[in-house]
Amino acid sequence: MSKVKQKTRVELLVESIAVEKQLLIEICDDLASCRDNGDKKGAKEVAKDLKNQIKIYNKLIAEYNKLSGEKAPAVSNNLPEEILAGSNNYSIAHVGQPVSSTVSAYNANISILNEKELKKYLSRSDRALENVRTRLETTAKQKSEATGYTKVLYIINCLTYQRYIIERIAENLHVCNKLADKKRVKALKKTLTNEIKAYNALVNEYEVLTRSHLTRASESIPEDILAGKPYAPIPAISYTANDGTARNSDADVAAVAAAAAAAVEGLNAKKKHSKKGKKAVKKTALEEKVAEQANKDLSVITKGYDFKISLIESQKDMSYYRFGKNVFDMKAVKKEANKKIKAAQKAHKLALKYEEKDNERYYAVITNDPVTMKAKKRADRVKIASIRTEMMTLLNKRDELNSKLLSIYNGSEVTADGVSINQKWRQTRSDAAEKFVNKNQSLAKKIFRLPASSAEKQRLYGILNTSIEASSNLALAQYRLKTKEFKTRQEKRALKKDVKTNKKLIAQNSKDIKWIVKKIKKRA
Amino acid sequence: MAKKKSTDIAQTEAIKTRAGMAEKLEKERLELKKEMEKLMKKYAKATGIRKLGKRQHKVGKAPNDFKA
Repeated sequence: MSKVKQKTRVELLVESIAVEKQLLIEICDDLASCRDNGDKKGAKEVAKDLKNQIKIYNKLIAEYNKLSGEKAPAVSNNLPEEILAGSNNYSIAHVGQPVSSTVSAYNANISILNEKELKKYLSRSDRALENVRTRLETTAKQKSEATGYTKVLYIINCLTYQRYIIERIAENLHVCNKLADKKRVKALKKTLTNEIKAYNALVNEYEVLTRSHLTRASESIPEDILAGKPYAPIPAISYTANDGTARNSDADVAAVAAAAAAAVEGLNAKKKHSKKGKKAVKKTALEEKVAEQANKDLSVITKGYDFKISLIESQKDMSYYRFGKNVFDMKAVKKEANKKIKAAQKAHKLALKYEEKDNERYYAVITNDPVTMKAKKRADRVKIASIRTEMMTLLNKRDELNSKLLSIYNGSEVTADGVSINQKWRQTRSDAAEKFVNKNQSLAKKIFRLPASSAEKQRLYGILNTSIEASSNLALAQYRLKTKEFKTRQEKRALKKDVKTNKKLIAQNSKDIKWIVKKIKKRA
Repeated sequence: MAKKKSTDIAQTEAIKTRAGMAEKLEKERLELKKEMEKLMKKYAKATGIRKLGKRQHKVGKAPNDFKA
């Protein structure tokens, strides 16, 4: 191995060691919790995990020592037994100088790796990212439940994880750009922009709570990377709850330290009650995300059909508000609408069934971890990991589309009492129709008394019925404009057009009725 | 009398616009599904888990399916 490549490998090793070390400490924490809780079965499982993790860690340390010539200490294989015997001393020594991409923008050593090594680097990076994302999700959940200083601490934790994610994705974007992988570059650019937004949202939250200033992540990072420029680094922040440019007062530090201790204590207590090990918790987080996405996907189908059915129901509602109606006519309208609704319900059921089957297959790709999967060759595992990443990108994209679709089908939102806006729209239309019918009863009576044939009278009633629908459409458009229940300017324009058209239609109908009545009277 | 516009709610401009927006997104969604199916075939080949590469229903059997 050339000296330059050797140096790069050492730096990549240092990063991997840091990630594995974090996992190791977490498993040690879990084991101590199981021990304190007297959970023997759980302790046995976690001890097994710990042994495996020690093997992974020590293997990396051995490679690191061999390449760097240093003598980093390996972790004792007896650590699980020591912890079970009551030891709480499982602090693990820091290895190497971590490569911080905040200093050198992105890892410049990447440029000397060949294509094969770059692809390998990408798959490893994806794995590391997944771990951090899981931790970020957990911390974000804790953050939302916390208050005061504890919340600030969780925000700082979230910021640290978020910064790490941005740096990783920035590096991956740089690598993909180098590999000229246009598809991934496009996807990563979008992801990076979103992650930067998420980071800046956390900064805002931090600033509101602490009233102190933090440097935001530059939104031009993706563009800078693609242009081959070094991007503006994101400064690290520490537990002293400021950006490191000013020292906090001792009282502040003491308060934060106390809050941190309390938070850790709380976390440990929570862990003690949990019988599941770290692995199980990690898996649950992924499974939760998968279940959430899959549910949203099925909701889109349900809401889509709900939207269609709601339109048919709305049309059916109008059959009650009719002038000159006869029972057969009403029955026919209702029968036709019911037929359409039944067909939509059947299609909905079928669509749900097939979508669920498809989702089971898609999400199996995500939940099957390529690291633990049986693969004939190492190359297969890399391929599986890259397919998995691609599948994740596609599923995330679909999830974004699903969110947009849900907001369209829902009208805007579900109200506090759980009634969807679509139903409110139907109510608005019905109310307007009823109002119009009551207002025009005298006109209907006048038509009834006219010396005309029943066909002529029916024609007049028909015009009046068109007005009922027009008035209900007008009321709905006005209601939506008033409550701002539209998504785009285009929709707003359409609503205004509806108001204009329906007003014109009602006026025209009224004029037509008057003209026909006048003609009939003159004829008589 | 001039021919009047339909008063069917589904024919109003607002609903047509909203349905149009949804239709566009649904189309994109189906395109993604098509891509995912292609990926599933690759995945099944790489892992040897054949059942994951094959759908339980033919393309177009589901009411909201993509076209082959």
